[in-house]
Amino acid sequence: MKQSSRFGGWGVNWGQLMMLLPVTLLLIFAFALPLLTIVPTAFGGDAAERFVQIFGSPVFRTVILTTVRIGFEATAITLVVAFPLAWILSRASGVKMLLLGLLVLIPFLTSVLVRTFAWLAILGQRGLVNAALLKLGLIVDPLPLLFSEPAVILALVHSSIPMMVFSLVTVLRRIDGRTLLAAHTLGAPPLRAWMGIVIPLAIRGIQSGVTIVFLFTMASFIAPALLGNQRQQMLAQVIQSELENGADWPLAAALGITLAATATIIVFVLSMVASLFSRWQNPGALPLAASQQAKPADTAILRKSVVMPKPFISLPGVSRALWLIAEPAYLLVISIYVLLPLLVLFPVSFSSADVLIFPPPGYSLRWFEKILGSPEWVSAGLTSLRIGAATCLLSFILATLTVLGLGRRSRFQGVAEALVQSPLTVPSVVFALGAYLMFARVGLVDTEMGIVIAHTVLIFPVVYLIASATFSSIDPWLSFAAATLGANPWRIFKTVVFPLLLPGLAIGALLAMLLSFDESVASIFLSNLSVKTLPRKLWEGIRFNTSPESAAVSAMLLCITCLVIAIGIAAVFGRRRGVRLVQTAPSQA
Amino acid sequence: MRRNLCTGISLAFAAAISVTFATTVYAADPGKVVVASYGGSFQDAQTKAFFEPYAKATGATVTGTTGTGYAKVKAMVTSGNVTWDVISADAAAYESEVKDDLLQPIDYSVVKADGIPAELRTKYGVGYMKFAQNLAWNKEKFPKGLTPAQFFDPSVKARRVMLALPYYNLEFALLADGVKPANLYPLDVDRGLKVIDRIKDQIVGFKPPSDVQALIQQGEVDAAFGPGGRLNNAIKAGANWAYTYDGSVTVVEYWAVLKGAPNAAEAMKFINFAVQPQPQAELPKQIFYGPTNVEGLKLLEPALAKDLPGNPENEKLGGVLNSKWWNDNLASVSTRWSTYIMQ
Repeated sequence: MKQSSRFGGWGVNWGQLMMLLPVTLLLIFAFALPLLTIVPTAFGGDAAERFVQIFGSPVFRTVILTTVRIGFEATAITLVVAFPLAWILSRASGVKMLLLGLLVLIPFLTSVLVRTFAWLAILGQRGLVNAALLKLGLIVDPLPLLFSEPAVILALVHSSIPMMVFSLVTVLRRIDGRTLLAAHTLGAPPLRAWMGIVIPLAIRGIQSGVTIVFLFTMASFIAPALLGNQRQQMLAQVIQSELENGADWPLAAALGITLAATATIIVFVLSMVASLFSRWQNPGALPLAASQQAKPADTAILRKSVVMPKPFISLPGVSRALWLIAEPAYLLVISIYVLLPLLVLFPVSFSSADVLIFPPPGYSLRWFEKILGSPEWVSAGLTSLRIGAATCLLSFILATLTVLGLGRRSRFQGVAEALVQSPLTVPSVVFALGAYLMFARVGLVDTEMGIVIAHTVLIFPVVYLIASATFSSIDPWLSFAAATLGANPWRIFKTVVFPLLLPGLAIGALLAMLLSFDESVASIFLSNLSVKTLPRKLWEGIRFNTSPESAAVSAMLLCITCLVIAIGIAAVFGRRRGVRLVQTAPSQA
Repeated sequence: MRRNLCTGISLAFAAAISVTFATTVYAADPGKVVVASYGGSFQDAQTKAFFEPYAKATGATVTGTTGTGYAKVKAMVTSGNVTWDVISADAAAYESEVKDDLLQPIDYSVVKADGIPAELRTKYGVGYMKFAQNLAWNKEKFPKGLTPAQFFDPSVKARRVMLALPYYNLEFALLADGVKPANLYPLDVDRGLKVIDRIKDQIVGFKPPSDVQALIQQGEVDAAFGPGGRLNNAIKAGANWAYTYDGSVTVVEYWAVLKGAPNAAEAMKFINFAVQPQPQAELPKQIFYGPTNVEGLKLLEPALAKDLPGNPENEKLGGVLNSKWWNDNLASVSTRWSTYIMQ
């Protein structure tokens, strides 16, 4: 085990520890210390009674169970829905890759305010779905689609797709499509080939995607409030309202601890399950030593004549046709799902009304004029952009160092990963409050630096998880080979590991930028007179009115991104074959 | 792709470098006051009614900022890093802030407003605005209107929505059940919950204010109990709805000064200005909220004044939120309320 931690051929242990220094400092000073200013309130006074109150009361037990259940349901559905998309994206190149990438990004580019409203306008009594069904004569009375758990899950899955796809895609890209071809020639039916090859090879991507999505859905509070009913309140909703009403801060802190502990335990168990699926990734001893003791392989099988397996389905024509339409049909359905909220967003952003209402009573450009014409909005946008870029860069560097520092497999991998992920488990409002109290002492409140630090703490685990999944899919023998050819560790890193790690890091950093751009809770707490971010501008009016500003901002963000992607497509056409990142194998199944 | 990435990264780096880490020192400065409110349309109205006229009249700089609320106020005062002077606080937040000793006493040698009822000139805050929670209904569904008693009558079929928090809802239920406004407190929580229970299966949800408005506008509900400002917004946006002050619950919004406020003296002068009749009469012209200064109400056109929350004619049809009672009982009632609505 000890040897295998140096397996990657990267430095000695103290070198790795040095690389873990920045993340350790960040977690201690910007995460643990802020929490220490708020967490002890949970244990002040009669702490035991407080936790008895939480676990003894049927209300809180229901809330905790609901939170975990919705987290699991949303994560499982996201995995199933997003996996084929990630697979197709990982096999795509050029224009197809860029268009699919854009599709995946769309839920992220629309503010959560508008997205949630869009589901209301889609699923409501007079919503798009019911209107369509009524018109088709399929139903007589509108279906009660809203205020139910499925409505909440539909919205949560929608916003989780990008995180899942991006976690999976960097790992899936590494899978050689020819292995499936090989399995096929050896007679494995498609299901077996997938379960036996793709899933185990993708397990680290699945694990990081599941972790991220589970933690995000567990901590969600906006969609459950609008789309759910009071019977499915989630823990983060309760914490948010307890803190803001000031009814009972110690109770809110205790609930925060409960949420964090529950999430950590579940994620830990999940990672144990994942490691069962990928035992091949951490062999007990060096494979070299193992092969010396292994019995010589039974080669008799090579001389036997191979019995060709019966076709999987006896109607080859039909199954072939099905396979041919499976991918386009799937892509069509998932595109409709992902793009559906845009049907509401774009009309609403051109609304002439003072309020968010669909369909809008009239159309105008007033919200775009208001936003582009106001120095306050423009400067808030630029502030968010600066904070996003800085968060992206910091997370990128920290994630690189942490991935390398933790290495491939070490004895404390589980604990270390749990520590690194811990910022994702704490409800952001609890962290934000602690960060305010602690940052105020060092003059970091109301500075862009303060928000950047808070965002980095909250977001860098996402970048780490994606990068770490990518890292584990890099063949360690490449580093070995480079070392035997005389490369020093730095050169190995520069020419072998880093280039292979870059796609994962880059996708993670992109997510970091977008998450930071949309983050409202910590930004609102840590900003005051001199710093104003876009989400704060979007959220602050909400107490008295919900204006279409948020839709207009989202529409602009989408247009800018589409423009960037369009330029990318033009570049692809300009260079034709130049953009292929990996040689794509024909899609198999 | 590689090259694109590298450009992207270097761009990001350049952007990161350009981050300016602004730190500003707030020195006590006569003729300067920072007022924290909620942002959005309400703050726009406050700016026109109070901030700009005060700056014009005195030459002082009024900086309007956003984010007032119990959690942030407590964090700010506890941390000792107080950068706000005046806050706008609703009755519930105000009581919590008083209880936690986050405010400083109002200097009534500076703040003079005889038109403000004595009970709103309290030690730590001056009530400067009133808003109400009202019963509202869809006029197509109920052309003859809806009474609070009908709202809680199970034989009147309607998709209803109520508010997420226990306060207002319980008062409304008790008023509908015949409790006199003067006898509301201490609240009979059992009775209130029993009244709500009659129509619980017809309630689509207990929602926050912004959602109540969205549900009305999107045609999801036929009857609602929610904030008058939101109901008014929905009607202005085209919803064919009407509301009543029968069974309404009026709430007071306070000006208060934070403990350790850097410009406390100017803060008192600002508050004094903002409770005078003239600015008080200006606010309702900007947004649908009522003045507390009775002299201010007299300055308004009767047609506008007639409909405003806080107008004594309207207020007497319903109750006034007793935030003190709630502050003492919120923790226990909250638990019962959550248990009840989740069943």
